Order: sequence, then structure tokens, then C-alpha cells
Amino acid sequence: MHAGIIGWGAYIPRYRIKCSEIAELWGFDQPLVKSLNIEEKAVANVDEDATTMGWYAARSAILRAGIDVVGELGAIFVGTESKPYAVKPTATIIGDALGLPNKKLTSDMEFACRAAGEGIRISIGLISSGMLRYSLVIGSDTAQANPGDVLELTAASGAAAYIIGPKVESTAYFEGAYTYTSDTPDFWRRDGSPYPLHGEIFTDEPAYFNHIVNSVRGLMDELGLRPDDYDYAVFHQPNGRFPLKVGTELGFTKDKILPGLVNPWIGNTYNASALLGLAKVLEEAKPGQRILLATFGSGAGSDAFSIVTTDKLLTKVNIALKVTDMLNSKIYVGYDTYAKYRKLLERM
Amino acid sequence: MSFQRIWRLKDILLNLVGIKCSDCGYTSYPPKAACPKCSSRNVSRISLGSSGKVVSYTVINVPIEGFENMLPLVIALVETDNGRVLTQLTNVKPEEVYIGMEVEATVRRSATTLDGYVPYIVKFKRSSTNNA
Ligand SMILES: [Zn+2]
Repeated sequence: MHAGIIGWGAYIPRYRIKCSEIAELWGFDQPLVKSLNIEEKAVANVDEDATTMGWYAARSAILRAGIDVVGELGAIFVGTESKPYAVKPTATIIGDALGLPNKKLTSDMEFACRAAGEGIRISIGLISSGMLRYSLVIGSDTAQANPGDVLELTAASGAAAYIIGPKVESTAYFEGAYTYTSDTPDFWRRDGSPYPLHGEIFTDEPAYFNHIVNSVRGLMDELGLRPDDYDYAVFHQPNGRFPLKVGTELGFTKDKILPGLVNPWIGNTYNASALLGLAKVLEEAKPGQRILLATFGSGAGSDAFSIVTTDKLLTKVNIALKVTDMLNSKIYVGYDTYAKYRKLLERM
Repeated sequence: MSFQRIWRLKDILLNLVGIKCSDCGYTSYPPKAACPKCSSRNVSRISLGSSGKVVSYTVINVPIEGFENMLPLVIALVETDNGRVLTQLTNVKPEEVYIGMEVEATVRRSATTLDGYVPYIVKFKRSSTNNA
């Protein structure tokens, strides 16, 4: 593998709704809310969507990578399950808005919450083979939830973006990757339906835990590494409880998982979830540290990456807004405003 | 506006491309074939830049078809380093806006057209290193 992260960027919308308010409105048991370990979730404004949030995160990633990468960006992949159009790529809109070259691979990818993870794996291959120099991978979602569904306590909005490029230029390089997928019906959304359905308890053992445990163990076996070799472990974050549980099961101590856990304050941002956790870790890590990243997408699959930071890392951190800046910059809204912003109310 | 027209204006709407007159130095947005001040055709395209200050603003409370869920609309004249642009402010309530407020450009959705096309345009929002 000869590829690494050249720059990264994050976007968290400013608005938040307390999950206790959603629970109270729909009559959920408050202990259920507590058990999810999600305090509040990020709410995109009425004029925001996967395109606008992805654009912001990508612009920050380009600033951190250095504007010179734009001329040699050979690919843009957008992982999302909340495309503004069912048919019409999001990646072309973001690419033109950022002034990227027309000669490039361009596509939206869909695999529930892990499509952007596959975008990173594909980019590593394209760059390691010498087919192109830089790739832009974006994970961006305005996650949908049926009003009153338990999913509404977690489904949130956010984006993360990464410029992948040659290892020698990287702020953190990939030393291994392992993807594990199977047909598992834990969560789906049919064509034309605005909200997804999910298999309640079925979403944990056969889906989230099975796939992440297999991808992470597969990765560590191939590399001959153990949990002790890692300084940080970042997992996909459907709620605030699963990442801690799966991490502990795999042998990672809590102090390695907590720095990359962002969803207790923003909710589940789907394709951005684990990637926002990674961005926060990159903003806190020291050069020469090893990070485990494990995505998860329903349907189901997980990509595990082993990432090592380099001495180029520290100079990049303050170039763009950090994850912690955006976690701290917030305005609370009530369910009424949230319903209007997320278009739960349709005017006739 | 039709989606064809929005598409043709894409550069202007998304990247704030204006003109600068080589004869009198006047900048104008949106771009025109000739300088609006001295009528010279010796003009070149420039980017207005991505940050500026509110020079003046107004608030629209009466729904314009398609914009109902974005009300109230805050429309501001923003002065950037390279010129002036009439633009929409987002992520801000009318009572929070003031003349001289520092703002930065961001990409947002405008009202969906009757054909279901989603226009993406530059709007401005409060700038601060801590305001996402
Ligand atoms: Zn002139």
C-alpha cells in the first residue's frame, strides 16, 4: 500500500436537538434514551443537504492538503444514502462547485453507512497502482428517520472528507485494509420510500458486531498486530454504546475509543460517522501513532483500516475548522424547528 | 428561473464570478459584457472572494413561491475584497444581523424549481473561526 491521507475536513451543522425532547414528544421511555448514550443530535438547516455539507467538508480537506492538489485530483467519490436526487450524481455538483478538473473518476456510492469507506479503499488501490495521484472521498448524510421511530433519536446530519494521495506526502498513511461483507437484512430503504426500516435487535449481533469484529480481526491477523499496538480505535457510531461494546470485545481499552467517539453530541451521521471520529483523532494525535478505523454499513459490511500518523500531521491541524470547534458551536432548536428544517412537515 | 438558465449561470451562482474593468477599475457582480460605470468593454472576469461585511440588508417575510420554508429571507448587500454582491444570509435570524457583520461565503440550496431541479448557490453566513 502506497497511499495515505493528505488532508481531511469535517462539517457538523450548527443546530442541535436534545434527544430527550424527541423521546418526550413520542412517549419513549427515558431510560431507553439514556441507554443509547446520545445526548443530542446535529440538525441541518432547511437549505442544507448531503451536497452542501459534503462541499464544506471537501473544501476544508483541500485547504489542509494544499490547494495545489486540485489540478491533479483524479477522482471524487461521494458516499451517501441521502442523495438529493435519486438519479443525478452528487459528486459532479460538488466537483464543479470546488473547481475540480473535468478529467476525473466521479461517482456516488451507496452501501448504507459504509460507502465512503469503500471509496477510501478504491482510492488506495488507484493511487498505489499509479493510476492517479489524488482522490477526494466524501461521506455526507442527512439521515432520515420516520417521525416517532426509535431511529429518530439518533439519525443526524454531518459530513467528512479526505484527500487520499501518495504515502510520501501523507499526514497519515494506510498500512493495511480489510473489508468483510455479507447479505444481512438489518436496515433498508426501498425506492420511493422516504424513511428506512430496520430490524430492531437484528441490527446488533448479526450486523454491526459480526461485521466489525471480522473486519478488525482479519486486518490485525494480516498485519500481525494486536489491540495493544494501537493508540486509537475509531468505530462506526450508530449510538453511543455500540462502539464502546465492540471495541472492548476486540480488546481495545476505553481510553483508546473515547477520543474518536463523537456521536453522543451529534448523533449518527451515517457515512460521516466513523470518518468524523477519525478527523477528531487526527486533530489530537501525535506523529507516529497508530489508529484503527472500522466503518460499518447495513446490508452489511465493514472496512477496517490501519493508519499511522506522520510528522506532517501537526502543521495541518489548524488550517481549517476542527471537529471540536464544530462540536462546541451549536444552537439548540425544538422539535418544531427540527421538523421544519428536516422537512417532516410538508406544505400542501 | 428555469434549470437551463440556472445551469448557464452556475459559475456566477457558485463561485461568485464578477468582472473588473481594466480602464476604470470598477468591479461588478453579476458579470456584464461592458463596464456599467464607463461602458468600456475592456473587462475581465474575477472572483469576488469568499469573505466580506454586510453593507445593508432587508428582511422578506412575504412568501415568494418556492421559498415558503426558508422564511424569513435575509437579503444583504455584502462587500468583499473585490466587489459587492447582493446575497442571501443563512443560519442567522433577522434580529441578529447588523451592518458591518463579518460574513463568509458558503454553498446552500435555493428553492427547488417547478421541474424539481435543486439550484445550489452561494449564500453568506456569519464568519468566525468557531462558527461552522
Ligand atoms: Zn469601467
